[in-house]
Amino acid sequence: MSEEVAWKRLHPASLWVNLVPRTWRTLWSLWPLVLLAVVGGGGVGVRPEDAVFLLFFLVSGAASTIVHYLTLRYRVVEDRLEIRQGLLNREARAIDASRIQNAEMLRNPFHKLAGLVEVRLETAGALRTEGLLSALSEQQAADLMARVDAARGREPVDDDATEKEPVARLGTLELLAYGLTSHRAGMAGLLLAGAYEVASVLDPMAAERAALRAEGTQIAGLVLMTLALAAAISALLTLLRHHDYRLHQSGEELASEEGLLTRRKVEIPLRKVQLVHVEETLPRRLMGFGTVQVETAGIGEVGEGGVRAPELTVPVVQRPRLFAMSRRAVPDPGFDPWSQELRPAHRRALWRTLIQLTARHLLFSAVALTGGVVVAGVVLSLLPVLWLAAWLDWRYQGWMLTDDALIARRGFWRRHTWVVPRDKLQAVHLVQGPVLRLAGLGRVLVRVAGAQVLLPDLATHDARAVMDELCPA
Amino acid sequence: MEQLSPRVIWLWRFGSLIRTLLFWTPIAAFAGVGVAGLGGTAAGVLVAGGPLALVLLMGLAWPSLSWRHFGFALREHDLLVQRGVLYRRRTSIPVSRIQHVETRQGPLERMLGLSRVLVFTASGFSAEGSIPGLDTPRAEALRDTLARRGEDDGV
Repeated sequence: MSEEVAWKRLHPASLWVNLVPRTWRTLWSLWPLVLLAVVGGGGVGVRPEDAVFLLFFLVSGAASTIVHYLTLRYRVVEDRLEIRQGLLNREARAIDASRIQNAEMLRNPFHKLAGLVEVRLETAGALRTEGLLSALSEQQAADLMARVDAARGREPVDDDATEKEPVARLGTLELLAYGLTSHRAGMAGLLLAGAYEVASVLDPMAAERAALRAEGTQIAGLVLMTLALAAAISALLTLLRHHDYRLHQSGEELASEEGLLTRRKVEIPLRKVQLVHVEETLPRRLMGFGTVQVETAGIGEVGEGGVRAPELTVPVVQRPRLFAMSRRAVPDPGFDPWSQELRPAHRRALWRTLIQLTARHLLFSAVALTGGVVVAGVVLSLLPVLWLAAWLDWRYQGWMLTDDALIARRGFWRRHTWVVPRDKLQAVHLVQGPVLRLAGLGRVLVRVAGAQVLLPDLATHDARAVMDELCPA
Repeated sequence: MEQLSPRVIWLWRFGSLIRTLLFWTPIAAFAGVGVAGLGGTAAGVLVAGGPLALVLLMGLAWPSLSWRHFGFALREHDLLVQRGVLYRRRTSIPVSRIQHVETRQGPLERMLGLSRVLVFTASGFSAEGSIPGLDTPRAEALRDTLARRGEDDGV
């Protein structure tokens, strides 16, 4: 049977559609080296040896794109997608359609010019996108999705004819609010360091003089300016990524569509959702919204810092609608953590944190004594601030176990709320170090496919009860 | 709770001895020679020998404690694994969520007739449950029992 189905290949335009983004991605990932090559070595310009070094990476990337196009073949046989590729290392993959967690269709500007689509099919637990077909014609992509859907036992979907219930649509102002409240302190630091590095290469003496003569207000102004620049960059990136954001529901599926240059469309069957994660940083809480992330067992994409990004993000959801939005993705947990009180973390958990924090900080202050009494004093004076932060963090922790879901919340500055359907649990761990045991506390860690949720510290008997309730003998 | 084979104590002791020889002994020797150069041979021997003796003693005693605190139970709906002397971990894995089960044997384990059972779920965090030091026939029986009980994997 499998011999009768012909293998298909990528669209010929795959080469140039992928080459430019690939080259850009390589340059982006190597930006410190590129910066060093351009402004390093005592002047502006690229030395031949640096050029060869950079060229090596660019040529390897290009070669991999060419090999990908020349060798990739795919077909759908019965209920599985088969892909084979590779020149030296040949790979053959068979992906069972029922195991596909989510399907994503992506169109970068080059795809749009050529009328092509990139299809990504993700399975559980894989370390990369298992089914990546980087350039198919729209017809090819539609045929493939129809066959995969048929193999998954899903009714064929006619995008125009199917009734789609609009769930959310975000405008520029909402996206700006999201972008401006994204965490970009790291970017600000990098900008500051990068600017100083460039200045010190162009005119080392002037840069050093400026750094040494800078006064407190000038430094504060510079930091504020950099933070503002980082926020502006963040807002711009957000607008590019989430432009014209739309979320809709078609039957048992959630689908989002977003992006200005690269248009990204994600479809998630609701039965594959592992958990809903709601992030409400303090600025977002003050502005009255949170960000909802829907996670499946698929690998998703690798976000900043290598952290796995969620499959579907709703950047802005007004606070009164957070519960309704989470209920769309997971079955009704029977408890609204945004209007009802969660069960608190144990009081001893606060004492444990305060004692541990104080001991660590006193040690740190003792070390700071080597820099003088004033330095040690300054370090020590930060202790009440840390106590306050610890108290706030403890105060806003919470958890609740209902018949259908486990709900957990942590954090004051960056508040996270997780809603985990109980029928998705993979394992439950109860962890107790010596200090926790001494305090009569236990820490429950719940794992679902591809993610884990840590409950606040509970009294040992409560932790045992939660564990027994989640995983009955 | 079912306990591991007592032979695993010797396996762990041997592992600890190898770690001491390959890792701690060179460090202790280096520190001892350095101190001997500054404060005399006796000080060097004390600095090198004291901690080394302590590590060796711990390597002998700790496996017994670990063995005493390790237990597992295959219940109707889950596999329960409990371990740890200072840091205790109690893990419950619903049997319906088990994706696959492996048994593994290193050379030392083969010599002692022992096997490790590794239980994997779809969580993606390596082996969710690990039971070392079981008699090989018991490990194989446990593997076969667990592998047959998978149902809806929740993914």
